Order: sequence, then C-alpha cells, then structure tokens
Amino acid sequence: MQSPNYYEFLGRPKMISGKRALEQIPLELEGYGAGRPLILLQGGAGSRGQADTITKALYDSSLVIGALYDGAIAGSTSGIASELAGLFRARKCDSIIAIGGGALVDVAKCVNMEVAEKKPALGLAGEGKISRELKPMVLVPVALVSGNEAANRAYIDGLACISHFLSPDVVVIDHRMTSTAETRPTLYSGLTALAHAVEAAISVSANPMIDAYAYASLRLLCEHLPAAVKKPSDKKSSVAVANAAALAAIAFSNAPAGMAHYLAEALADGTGIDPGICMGLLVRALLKTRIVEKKGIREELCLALAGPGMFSAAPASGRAKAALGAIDGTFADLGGMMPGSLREIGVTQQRLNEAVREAVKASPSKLSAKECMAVIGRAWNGK
Amino acid sequence: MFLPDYYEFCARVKTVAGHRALDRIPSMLSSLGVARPMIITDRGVSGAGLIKLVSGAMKGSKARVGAVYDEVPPDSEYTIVNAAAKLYRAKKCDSIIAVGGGSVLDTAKGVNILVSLGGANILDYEGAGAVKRKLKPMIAIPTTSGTGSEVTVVAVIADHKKKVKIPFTSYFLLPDIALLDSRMTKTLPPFLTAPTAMDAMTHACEAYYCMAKNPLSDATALMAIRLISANILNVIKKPGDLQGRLDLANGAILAGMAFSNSMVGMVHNLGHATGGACGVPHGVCMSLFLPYGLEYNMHKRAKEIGELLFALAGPEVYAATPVKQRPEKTIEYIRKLNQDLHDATGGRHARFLKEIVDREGRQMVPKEKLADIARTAQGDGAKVYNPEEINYDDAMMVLEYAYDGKPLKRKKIRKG
Amino acid sequence: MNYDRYPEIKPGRKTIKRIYIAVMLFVVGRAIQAACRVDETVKKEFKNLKDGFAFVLGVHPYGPWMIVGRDAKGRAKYMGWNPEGKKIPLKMSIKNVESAILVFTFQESTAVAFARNRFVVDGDLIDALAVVRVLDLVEVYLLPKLIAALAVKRYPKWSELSPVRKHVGRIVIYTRALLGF
Ligand SMILES: NC(=O)c1ccc[n+]([C@@H]2O[C@H](COP(=O)([O-])OP(=O)(O)OC[C@H]3O[C@@H](n4cnc5c(N)ncnc54)[C@H](O)[C@@H]3O)[C@@H](O)[C@H]2O)c1
Ligand SMILES: [Fe+2]
Repeated sequence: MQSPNYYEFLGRPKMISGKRALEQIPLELEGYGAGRPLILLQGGAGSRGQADTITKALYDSSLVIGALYDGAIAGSTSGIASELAGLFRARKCDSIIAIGGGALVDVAKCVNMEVAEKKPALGLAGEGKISRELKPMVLVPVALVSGNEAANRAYIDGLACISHFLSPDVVVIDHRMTSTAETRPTLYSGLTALAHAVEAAISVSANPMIDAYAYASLRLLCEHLPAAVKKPSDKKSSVAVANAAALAAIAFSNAPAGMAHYLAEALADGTGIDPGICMGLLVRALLKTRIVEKKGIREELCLALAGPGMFSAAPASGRAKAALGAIDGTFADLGGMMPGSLREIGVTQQRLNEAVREAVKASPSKLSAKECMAVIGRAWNGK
Repeated sequence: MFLPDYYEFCARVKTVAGHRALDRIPSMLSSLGVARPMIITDRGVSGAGLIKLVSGAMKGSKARVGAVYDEVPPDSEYTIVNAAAKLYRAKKCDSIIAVGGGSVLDTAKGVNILVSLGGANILDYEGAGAVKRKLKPMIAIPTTSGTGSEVTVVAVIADHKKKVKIPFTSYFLLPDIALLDSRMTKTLPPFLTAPTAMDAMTHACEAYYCMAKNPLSDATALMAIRLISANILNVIKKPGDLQGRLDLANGAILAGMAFSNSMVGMVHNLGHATGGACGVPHGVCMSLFLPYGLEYNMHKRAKEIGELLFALAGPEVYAATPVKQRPEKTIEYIRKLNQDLHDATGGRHARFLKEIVDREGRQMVPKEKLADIARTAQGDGAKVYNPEEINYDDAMMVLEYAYDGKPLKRKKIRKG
Repeated sequence: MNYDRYPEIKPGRKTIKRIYIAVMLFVVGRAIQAACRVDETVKKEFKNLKDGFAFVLGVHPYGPWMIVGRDAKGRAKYMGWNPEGKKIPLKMSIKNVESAILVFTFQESTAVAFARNRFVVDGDLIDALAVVRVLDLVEVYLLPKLIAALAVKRYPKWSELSPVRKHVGRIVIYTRALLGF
C-alpha cells in the first residue's frame, strides 16, 4: 500500500446512524443556526407513516417544521424544484430534510440551489457552478437508489450538477425509515453502492481515504446486502445497506465515475432497465476482465471485497480471485433476485455497441472503447 | 464489519496531500475567501526552515500574512493561546494557518475559539459542548506524523499550574483544510519521528477497541496501522525517504479520523496524566503505554485486538497465526516494535517509565510520582471510552508495571 | 401547487416520557444527597469538589432538570428542578428526550451514552467525570444487580461493596430518596 503523489479528499456529510438517530436532527440543525426545515418525503403508500415518524422524532425541540411536503415526485424537473423553492420561501424555511432516495433527493438539492443562489437550479448545471455554502441539508435515507443522494451531485431535467456543496451536511440513518424500503429499491441501492465503491477504489483518484470508505462500504454490503434484500424490513441489515450506500457515495464524490457507471447509464437510458442492476453486473464483469487480462486489481480493493480473513488465506497471487469470489458469493446469496446477465434482463445484443459509444462520449475521462466492449460483452453473456 | 447500535462520524476536513501539496496553498486560500491569515508555529518548526517553505508557496496568492506567532512551547498552554489570540486581533487577521506538530495545531484551535467567539481566556470554553458555532477558516499543516489533530474534533491544552491537560471537543474544531506535504515532516529527527508516529499508531489501535468504534473508524484505523507499521522503521533509518514520510503522514491523518470519532482509552488516559504531572512528551507516553492498554482490555476485546495483527504484521503472519493466538501476538508485536525503535534511535526511544529522561538526562518520572499520575488520570476524559473501568487502584497497578516495563499480570486486572 | 396543503407543523411534547424522566431525575438527585451521607466514596468525591460547586443534569432544550450542589461542609445537596437564577458551573444535558429515556431506562449506561455522544457537557470536565462516578455508584445502590450490572462497566465486587454496606446502604438511600430527608 502506497500513498499517491497527490490527492484531495473531502468526506463532507456527518454520519449519524442507529438507535434514535432521527431525534438528533434538531440539535444538528441548531449547530447551523437553523430551526425551520422544509421536509420532503415521497408521497404514496408509506408516506403517512413516515410523516408521523419524523414529526414525532422532532417533538420536544425548539424546531418548527416550516412545511412537510408529501406529494408525489416523479422526477427531478425544474418545474417541481421551483415550486418547492417557492414553498420554502413562503414558509421562511432555513434548512431542508429529505427523506427517501432517488429523484426526491435530487429535487431537494435543486430547491436548495435555487433558494441559496437565488436563481433557477437549471442554470447551475455543470461542474463547480455553485459559489457558496447552501442551506443546511439533512438526508434521511430510505433506499439510496441513484447513488447520488449522499454524493456531491444532483440531476435536474437530466443534467448533472456537481459540487461539494451538494453533499448533504448530515446523513441520518434510522431503521424506522430504512426498513420501509421495498425489495427492489434495496437491491438497486446495494448494487449501485457496490459499483461506485469498487470503481472509486480502482480509479486514477484512488487514495487511502477512498480506500477506507470503500472498505467500510464493501464489507457492509458483502455481509448484509443479501439479508436486506430477502427481508427489507429487517432493522439491522437495512441500516447496514443504507450505511454502505452513503459511504460508497462519499467515495464516489471523490473520484471520477467509472466504466460500469457510464455503461449502466447508457443501457438504462430510456429503456426502463434499472441502472443499479446493470452496474452490479458490469462491475463484476469489469473485475473479471481485469483478472483474465492479467491487469491485476489493487490490493486495497481485494482486501475490501474479500475481508481480512479470506484475503490472508489466499496466496498473494490469488487475492484478486478471492475478491471476485466474494462478489460472486454475495450475488449467489441474493438468489433469484439477482439476474445472471444483461441478456436475462432484456438487453439486446444490438444495444451493446450503442451503449459503449454513448458511455465513451458521456465520460470526460477517456474510457477505452475496447475495454468497454469486453466488459459489456462479458456482462451480457453472464457466467 | 462491526456495526454498532448507534454511531456518529464526522471528518469534514478537506484533505490535500502529496509531495508538493504546499503549492496548492494559494488556491486553498482563495477558496476559503481569506486575505490576512495568521501563521501559528513554534521555534523548532520555523528553525527547520518550514515557515520559509510555506511563505514561499504563498507567493502566488493574493492573501498576505497578517502576523506570525512562533512561540508555541511543547504542549500548548492556555496562556499561550490567550496571547496568540491577542496578536491575531491586534493585527486584524481573518484566518489561521497552523504549521507544526500537535502542540501548534491545538494552540491554533484554541486561538480560533477565542477569535471567533470572543473572550480573553480559553478556559472559559471548557467542556464538551461549549463551542457551538462555525469558527474562522483554518488550514492545518502538520509537521509531525502523529497527533492527527489536523482532522480531529479535539484540542488538548495544558494548564501547567494545575498540572493537567484539558481537552476541548467540538465538531467546529475541525479545521477546514488539512494539508500534508512530505517536505514538512522530512526534517523531523528520528527521536521525534518514533514517538509521534507511535502516537498515531496508538490512536488507530485505541480507536479500534474503544467504545465508540464504528465502520468508518474501523476502516480508517486499519488503513492507518497498515501505513504506519510498514513505514515507521524505514523512515527512522532513512529520514529523507519522502515516500515513507508521505505514507506516515497519511497514516497519521487516518488514525486521527478514526480516534476523533471513536475516542481513545486507557493509553491516552494514563498518557495525558503522565504528560500533565511530569511533563513527558505525549508520544513518548503513548508508545510505552500501548502494550498495557491492549493487555488491560484483552478480556473484553480479544477479537478486536487479534484483528489488529492483520494490519500490523501483514496477511502472511496473520494467516499463519491461529485465531486464538492473534491477540497475544499483537501485543508481542507492539513490544517488539518499541524495542526496534529503541535500537534504531540509539536508545532514545523510551520503552518504560523509568527510562524517560529530559534533556539534561534527569529521570522524568520518579517512582514517587506514580500516585500523582494515577490521581490525575481519574480526571481525564479518555477513561470514559475505555472498555474496562479504570479506578485509581487500577491505574496505580498498571503504572507500577509500566514503570520498569514488565508485562501486566493478567490475574491482577479486575474484570467487570 | 397549493401551498396550503402543506401547513406549518409545531412539533408537540412527549408528556409521559418527560414525566418519567422528571421522576427519575428527582429520585437520582435525592439519592445522591442520601448516598453522600452513607457512602464513603461518594462522600469523598464531593469533598474533593470545589466550594460552591453545583451541577444541573437534564434534557435539552426544555428539561426536565435536576440540580445537585455541594454545601459548605462538602456534602451533596439536592437543589430542586429549576436551574433559573442559580449559579451552576457544570451543565450536563442529554441531547433529547428519547436519548434520555435510553439512559434512564438503563438501556444505555452512562459510559455508552457518553461514547454515543448523547451528552453535552458545559463546564469543567474533571468535575463532570466526578459526577459520572457518583451517578454510577448511585445506580448500583438504586437498582437491582441485574440492571445495574448493565448500567455500569464494572459492577463492584462484594469485596468492595460489602453486603452490609450495600443492603443497609440501599434501604437508607431508598427511604431518604423517597421521603426526601
Ligand atoms: N488534538 C488532538 O487530537 C491531539 C491528539 C494527540 C495529541 N495531541 C497533543 O499534541 C501534542 C503533541 O504534539 P506532537 O507530538 O506533534 O509534538 P509537538 O508539536 O510538541 O512537537 C515536538 C517537537 O518537534 C518539533 N518539530 C515538529 N515538527 C518538526 C519538523 N518537521 N522538523 C523539526 N522539528 C519539528 C517541534 O518544534 C517540537 O519541539 C500534545 O500536547 C498532545 O496532547 C493532540
Ligand atoms: Fe494522542
């Protein structure tokens, strides 16, 4: 293990996880001088219970909920963002609590950009366009399906905004919320986290801090994802997967997105196929390809995937295989929930070329089309 | 991976690390929006030419140094904090660049409390919850690979009259930026490199077995130990080894992240007390108490202590040692490391209390002082986070063994 | 969007939990005063504290609170529930009602609660540690062993806490705590 010649790293969110975590929110906001949050949660079947839980958790504090929005949020659009920004201003809110994952959190971040920068969020799309600290934002995960929720990015009208200011200030993980997630979102969030953590650890930006975050994230996933997917209402494993997802997102914030990420986005774009599933299959194929082509896998990543026990038991030359074995073992434990190949989930062979082209175009760092093709082909064929 | 029923973790410090990380100072200063930073340092650091390096790197910046305070003594004192804060105000500075070891970084944190929140005496801010607001921008540039103070929520400030070291804790004590540059630690002589690196090692080990451990503190602790263990002896033998220096610096900051969120236990409890009562440098206490901290908590933390062996000794040794023997092997490994450091520094690295001497060669911890140390330790917060209870009698017992370096008699440990 | 559908919400109070905590605080406060008269260790801890020392223990931000001070003779004195207008050098607040419930139902020991950052301490840390030691001892007195053993790191051995001292002490502390003398 050797430190790189140069790196930068910022793990911005404060993590609060476990028993009575929600009740910590008032004091955390107090630390920012805030006490009138706008609360966003996803409308629908579970929203009543979630609204109740969060309101009760804020009892006996000096905080006042400016508004609790529990309407449906289908996607992150400028329209909904500016309406909610209006609600934020009308109620003189000073902070945001986002409960959920996916588009809802994107919207929360866009609202924050609008109210803090006093201009439409869409104008802030791109990298590093935000000039100042935004309002304090608390993320309360249910299932972090996009992998961006705890990271430094948000999407609006399909465009990405990237800035460290977009990372939540506090991530509050409480089983009262995480155990309301459903099976599929739990699986998607876990696979996205797996891919993001692995790709951060093999990226050119890899550094000891990324290694540490990836280690924690991947160990939690290998040990808890199958149980969480089998029984999403399980307190301990749902909390573990939410932790893993948040930690992977922090690693991901500090590294360029990788091949599996871009390929999965290209495959999912407009097809209704979940990018999380694709990412999981692709990242496995990526590691396998590296092993087959004898390119090797960084020792730190092998350790994170295999864990100290399996890592040590393997001879030095067999550690990459042990790492891959750990992923295979996790996938196997997922049982019928985990498809074996891209083909199985309805990706046609014709799509592959196209997806590679799109991924290469979308990625700012030069992806090798040849390697992309090898990886996506392997993921398409499966075992 | 251990996931506790509850944990908090915060290390919101931008880390910038590398062989030429100092070159990034101008852009860091502008990202913080500051114009008149005050440099806080000590004579040893400026004497080693390190402030010159920093001001050289600032040439390209619009910001101008508002003041330099270079009188921090070993172990920060509250009167020093108060004096430096006065200078900051007189010179109308707007931010702090701290360049030095833990003594300097902690002084700077104290100064930041005063200049941000007002007041003339830092002692008015004592207690775990007294600092509740964002402070002035601060860049921490560590010149020892030890305390990890550049990324911790703690500032340890001494009160020499009362002979105690007082911890100030608050998330707002996290600096904005931690800047690690291998050139900044290259000048640290071996006899200081050894104990400071062992301080970092202790942070990681204690973080791994103390009461607030969590997935991130565990992960950062393991990475830290791997980096420190692989480099400590090499760097002491070859002080100019810049890659080794950078690895140690990264190890120290990771260890800081770990313990700042998991806290430390008996080793620091006794260490702070020994520092307070007898003026022994922090790192010296750490390395010699570390094996005792492991022994003392063994009955409650055998599994964790066994796992440390992986990070310390590497996968081969770990695999070759049966699970049952790993905890003892970890302790053996640390004792052997202390011995190796003793040999590599020509005997200057102390292995036990009796052996510690000051510059004039006088013994610093005479046996009569042990009772003093044990009493002081009862007032030190680190005891709260230690897995096993530590009463006065317990502390006394451990101190007597640590006095001449005998391993603890396990039967004498009272098990709760 | 009709903003009126999303009104402002003022979170309420958890009255029953607060009453429970208030009762526990009252009993503990009384018990400290009583323990200081029969237990040598507690007596010594208070002797060592500064003249005029007092601490308030309770729940952020709206209480309930409990105040114990040191009288001129160096003994513990329960000083009621209202911190207003009193000069109290040490304030130990638990961050919220739910955390306080964890502590006062002994699901979390004081040490674990500290490790989990549930307490906010304002004041001298050395004094705060003395208070924690006193609280641990009082818990041993007040609670059946089964529960107290969970609440403290090391349950005092019989050799340290003789049966006589423990049981007689316990009865005396109980009655004093309840009857308030
Ligand atoms: N805040 C925290 O989290 C934390 C943690 C552990 C310890 N501490 C505190 O930190 C202090 C100890 O700090 P330390 O061990 O870093 O030592 P230190 O800051 O006292 O420095 C020791 C000596 O080394 C010299 N020195 C430092 N860097 C040098 C360099 N690059 N070249 C040449 N000389 C150099 C200094 O001038 C000084 O004389 C103690 O007060 C301890 O309590 C704080
Ligand atoms: Fe230390």
